[in-house]
Amino acid sequence: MVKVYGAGGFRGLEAYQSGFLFSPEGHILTAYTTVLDTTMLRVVLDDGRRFDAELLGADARLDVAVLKIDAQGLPCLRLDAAADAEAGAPVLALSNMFGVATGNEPVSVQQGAIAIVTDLDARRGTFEIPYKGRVYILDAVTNNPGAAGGAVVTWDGRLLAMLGKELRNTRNNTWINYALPISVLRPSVDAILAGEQSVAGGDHGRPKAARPLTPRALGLILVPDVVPRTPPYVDSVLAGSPASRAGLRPDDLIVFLDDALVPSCRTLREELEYRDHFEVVRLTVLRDRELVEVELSAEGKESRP
Amino acid sequence: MTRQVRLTAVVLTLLCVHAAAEEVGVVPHEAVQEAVAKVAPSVVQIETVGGTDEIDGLPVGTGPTTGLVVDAKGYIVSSSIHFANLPSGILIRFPDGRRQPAQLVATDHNRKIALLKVEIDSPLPVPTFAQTDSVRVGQWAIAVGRAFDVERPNVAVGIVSALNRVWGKALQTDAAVSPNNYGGPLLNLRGEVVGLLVPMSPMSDEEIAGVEWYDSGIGFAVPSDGLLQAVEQLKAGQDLYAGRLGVTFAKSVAMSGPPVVRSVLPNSPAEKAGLRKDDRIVRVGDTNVTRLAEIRYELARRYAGDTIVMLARRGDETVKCEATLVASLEPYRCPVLGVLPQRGTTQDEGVLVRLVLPGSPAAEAKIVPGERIVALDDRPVSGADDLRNRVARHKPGDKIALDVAGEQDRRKVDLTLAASATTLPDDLPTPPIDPEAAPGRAISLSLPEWKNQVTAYLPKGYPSVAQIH
Repeated sequence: MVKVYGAGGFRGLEAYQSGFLFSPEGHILTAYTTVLDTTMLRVVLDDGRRFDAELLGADARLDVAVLKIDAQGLPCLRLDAAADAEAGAPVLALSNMFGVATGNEPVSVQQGAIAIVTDLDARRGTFEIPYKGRVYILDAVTNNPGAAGGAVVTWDGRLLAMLGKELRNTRNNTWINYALPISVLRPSVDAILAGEQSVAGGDHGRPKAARPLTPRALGLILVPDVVPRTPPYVDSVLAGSPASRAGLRPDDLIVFLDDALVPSCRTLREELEYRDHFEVVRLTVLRDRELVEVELSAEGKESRP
Repeated sequence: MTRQVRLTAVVLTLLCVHAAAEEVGVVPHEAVQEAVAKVAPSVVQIETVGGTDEIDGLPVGTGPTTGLVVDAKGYIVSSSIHFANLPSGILIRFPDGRRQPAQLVATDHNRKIALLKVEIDSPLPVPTFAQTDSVRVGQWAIAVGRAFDVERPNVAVGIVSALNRVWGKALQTDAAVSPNNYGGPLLNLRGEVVGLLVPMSPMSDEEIAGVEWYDSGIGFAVPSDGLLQAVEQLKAGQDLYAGRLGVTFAKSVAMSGPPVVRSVLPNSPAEKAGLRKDDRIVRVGDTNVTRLAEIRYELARRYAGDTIVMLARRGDETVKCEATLVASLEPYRCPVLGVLPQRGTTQDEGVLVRLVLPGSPAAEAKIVPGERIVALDDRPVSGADDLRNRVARHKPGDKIALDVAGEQDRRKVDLTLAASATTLPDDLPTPPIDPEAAPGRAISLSLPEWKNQVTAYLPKGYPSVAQIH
């Protein structure tokens, strides 16, 4: 385990984080954060030795980075020996949380378990990172300043995952304790080591459509959007529109667009902005205590005589 | 020989210590998984649509959140915080991915539980509930939610930290409790439900109190017995509220000192039960009490509509009071009889009427100045203060009976107390005195009931302000 020092030090932005050696030649896996936004990166090993470090590359999609220090024969956690774990597995999390370890002090160790193995919610805006894939949610409070880049290991010391950067779940306003499985990080690390990836840009998902769908194009007039979370009730249905042909009615409450929950008029409009005007969409509405599912295609409207 | 025995003893001791450490110290992860698997089919995901975006200034998440099946007929409980923003639609997602709309049946605002109902084709799987009196501090506690993934529950492990927390309403656990599992069950290692995870705070009754403690190592769960009792009541569709008594205590009493009543709110359950100022409460229900906290502990668990028997010391006697608690205390409305009584005290019987306000209940009952009110509801009136206090304990609209004595006769009149005027009359009567040319002097008064200052003009030689009260 190593302590990484770099840019930051401003209010709310720590200038330190965690990392771990994965080769005897000084390759270090860590989180890709603003701490690495400097040419003056310094790494401190747990025996107190200090090294200047070089950023070999990073993958902004996974927020993972590889550093290199000039050394030989270092103890390390090998990525090819990493394991996968199931929910409930007891784990240890090692990190320099709150920067409590300095000099030759080893990082802090927490115990806990894997609360669930799940995918980060793919719904837009839920998490402020681009990655939407598999993570371990930990039953341990690991979401701490400086913990990003720490290692999650089994009780017998097998590497499982890397602690992610501090992350808020915007759907319930909680900080989330998560770690990225090594099996997810491997391809990125290999690409960085092969020099194929220096600093890859984030994939921010699907772009907005050039000519997006709108509720009106589907023949839906929603209730006036007056509060931040106006429920998406249908106010009226345009005659002869896709919505009318699909049998939608005033007072239907739209609850799903395809598989995405739409808690408000605003979310519905935003979600539609990612769909082209010719796309077929599936709406689920709540009507008289029943869920009704319909398919709508705005294209049909244009073919109307 | 002796040495051998000793050695054996040491080995045995070591073995015992080792075995105990295994049992107590290390989380039994496999047993946890088995316990979770037992309850998992009953743990559902909840999604909501619409609703306000904040409560008391704090942003409200849009979920998803967790619920627990409590009745095969389609009843599901959750934490009331999930519905405090009054969503337009509630959807239950079962572990197999099936979605169904749900109705909010009723809310227990005291224990922060919401009861939902879904229409069902087949019975829902109901978990096993643990006996609450079997729960021990230190036993393993498993918090289960379904907030991340509909196919898989999320699990946090800890122990039961305390019983009877939050004024006896909750168990405390150090397992991570947060919006990720509010509304889900707290289990024992056998997979039995010991409680329902909810945000709560001993400091506040607010709907969202306790959320600030998420993942802190201080989590609360409503124990199964309280939960199931509340569910049975909630099924009737009636919201449950904390029961209020309507007494206040001096500030000093809150910290220490005997629970002596400072005031009894008019028309409150306490007043109807006959509790009075300066009574010292000594027993609530089956519990002897010597401090305010003990009274609060007894009352906080009870609901509006519950009846409670109290004993209080009044002087040398002990009085028994039976009060039916209410959800909210009525604001006091002053009843109006419509007479100005004589000032001061006299040796004469009752109270001399000095003036009768036109259009008042007294005027309608044909009481005239010069008559004396000698009894109210068949109890003698000892003076103006007595009359005022006893009338004030009624509310507008109450019927009272007065015994009125004139010069020669004595009669009984029934009348209905009025409410004090809440609107200004269109025409104010001409003041009897021209303020500019007032013969006396002007003084300022502030009346306890009203924020405004009033000015009174006193005749020359009027001795003091105190007399006009």
